[in-house]
Amino acid sequence: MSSNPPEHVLHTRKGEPVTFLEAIAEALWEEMERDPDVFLMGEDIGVYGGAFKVTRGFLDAFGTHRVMDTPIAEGGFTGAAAGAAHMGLRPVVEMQFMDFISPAYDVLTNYIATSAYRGAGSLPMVIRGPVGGGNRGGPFHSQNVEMAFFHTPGLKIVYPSTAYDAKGLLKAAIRDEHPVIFEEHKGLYRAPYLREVLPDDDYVVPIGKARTAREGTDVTVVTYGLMVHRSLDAADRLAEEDGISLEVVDLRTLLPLDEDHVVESVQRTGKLLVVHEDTRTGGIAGEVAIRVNERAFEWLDGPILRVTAMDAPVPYAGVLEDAFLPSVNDIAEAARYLARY
Amino acid sequence: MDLLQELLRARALEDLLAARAPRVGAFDRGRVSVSPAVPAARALHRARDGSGDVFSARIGAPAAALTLGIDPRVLVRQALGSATAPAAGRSPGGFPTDLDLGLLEPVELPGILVEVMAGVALAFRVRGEARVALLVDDMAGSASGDWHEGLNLAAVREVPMVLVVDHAVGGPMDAPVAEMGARAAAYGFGSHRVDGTDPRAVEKVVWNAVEAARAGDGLQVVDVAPPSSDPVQWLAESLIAAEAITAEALAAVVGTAEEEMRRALEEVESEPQPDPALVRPSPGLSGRVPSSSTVTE
Repeated sequence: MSSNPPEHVLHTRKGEPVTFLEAIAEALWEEMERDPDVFLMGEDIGVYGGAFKVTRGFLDAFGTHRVMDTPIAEGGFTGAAAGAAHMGLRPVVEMQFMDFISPAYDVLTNYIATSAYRGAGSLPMVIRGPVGGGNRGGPFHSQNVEMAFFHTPGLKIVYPSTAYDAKGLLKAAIRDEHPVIFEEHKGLYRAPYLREVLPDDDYVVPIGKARTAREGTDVTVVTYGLMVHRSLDAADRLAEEDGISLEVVDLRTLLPLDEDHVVESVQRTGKLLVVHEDTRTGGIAGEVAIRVNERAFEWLDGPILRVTAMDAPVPYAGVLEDAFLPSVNDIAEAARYLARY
Repeated sequence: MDLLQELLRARALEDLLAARAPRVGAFDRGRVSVSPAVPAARALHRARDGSGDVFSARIGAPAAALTLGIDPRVLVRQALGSATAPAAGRSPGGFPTDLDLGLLEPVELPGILVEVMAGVALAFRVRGEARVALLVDDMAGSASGDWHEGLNLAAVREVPMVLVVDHAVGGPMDAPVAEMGARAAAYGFGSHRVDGTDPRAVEKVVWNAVEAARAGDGLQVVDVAPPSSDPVQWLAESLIAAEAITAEALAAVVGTAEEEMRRALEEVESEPQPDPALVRPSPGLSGRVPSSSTVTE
């Protein structure tokens, strides 16, 4: 144990429940203790402890060589992280908000994603940060970025929905030999309903494996991130009000997509609804739909539907953002329609 | 003589590849590109076990890789996209990554290598290793944001990095200043300048920059002014004039170099093309970088 660990990385060791954010902090802390090659880079992650205080106290414990405050230059420090990874280090890059990953798009897609394929060596590195709306953050602090990278072979994209998965998947991402984009929904960071006691052992959650968050028989809902919880709420409502049984599949990893898990579920329910907070056009719903069409068309008893954010930048005013984001009502309505189709 | 020999080997390889694989970016820069890359590479601490300095170059890449000990056949395989190339035909690259030799594959994207090499140097600093990351580039990259961000980070973190800028290539639209030295105070890097005509002078100035970086002086930038004549020819004539070599001996060295590269090409041309199944990623290429197969025997 490094000296002076901050309180928020000790809950599991004390047998106490953790929030989603604390689970992430614990994963980072434990990986840094386990492997001296793991280090952190990002804007204000050291002295300030990060915009969301994920890394509060890390600088004092690990020093400036392992907790590096960077210039506001996402392309520059992401590229530098790649160079460090070439030399055997395992950088974990924090995007203060994932909206800011766009300046690093060039180096991520052209250089980092292609490195192993080019024979230049795989790059073990994680790019993590907060995503998602609902916090009245407006267009530049609320986006989901997965589909900007989903089309890029060579990258992995992880998007957990529970504290257990956040910790286990982040550890898996840090230990992975390939670059992983790790999305953390801000709405989950301190959500009281996500507090849970985690196993006090060195568990990892494998990348590329979906999970069934709720078993059901009438409609498969494929989703991830915060929308898992909206979908579970919709499932509760439909079970109570209509006697409809939703199966909720949490993708957990978007790239590579756990196609087998989705197909198996659809083959049992015969109906598919895809729910994502990301905008509609070019969203992951399209990819999930075509894969189910390719592999399970004959099992389908209805159209594949999707509930997503609207095709618009994320609006600022509360009433606009609420209208923009998928709601429990939206999900319940679509699922009810499908169940009765 | 060693320097001239290395330049002539590099020249022979470049001439051959320029004719056989003209689309490989590193070979379309004209006949001066072997310098400053070769003398810059000679200024590094070279090792074959991954403990030396690390080199990359958008300009003159294959030439410098030869200097750092790579087998010419490997460079030919890479350029021709052969099945036996380290990248197995998936990437042209001026040279393949071989971390044992200190080679990091260059990419054609201006600016990105500045960021990546800053990260390489950052790793050296973090680990307290007395190693240096050196990149040879031209001014074209200086117009990109990546270039600026990489240099800025390298300067802020005072990492042991050297950027050698070859002004023999590039155009008037690249930058509002003629040389990087004009930006030294703004960025906070050590500035060096040398005329590109004499490769020996280039090697000496780059060596000074490398040792300054190694000593903890942080980022160093070397402006190499366009040569007044072909540096290889200039050096050969200088050595003949100084009676350090005869014209006959020079011709023999050229002949040996050309023969070595011709044999390398012949051997590689008879090798198979990549299996189309390799289009998709495979576990074989996803792990650590191959190394021993690329070293000159």
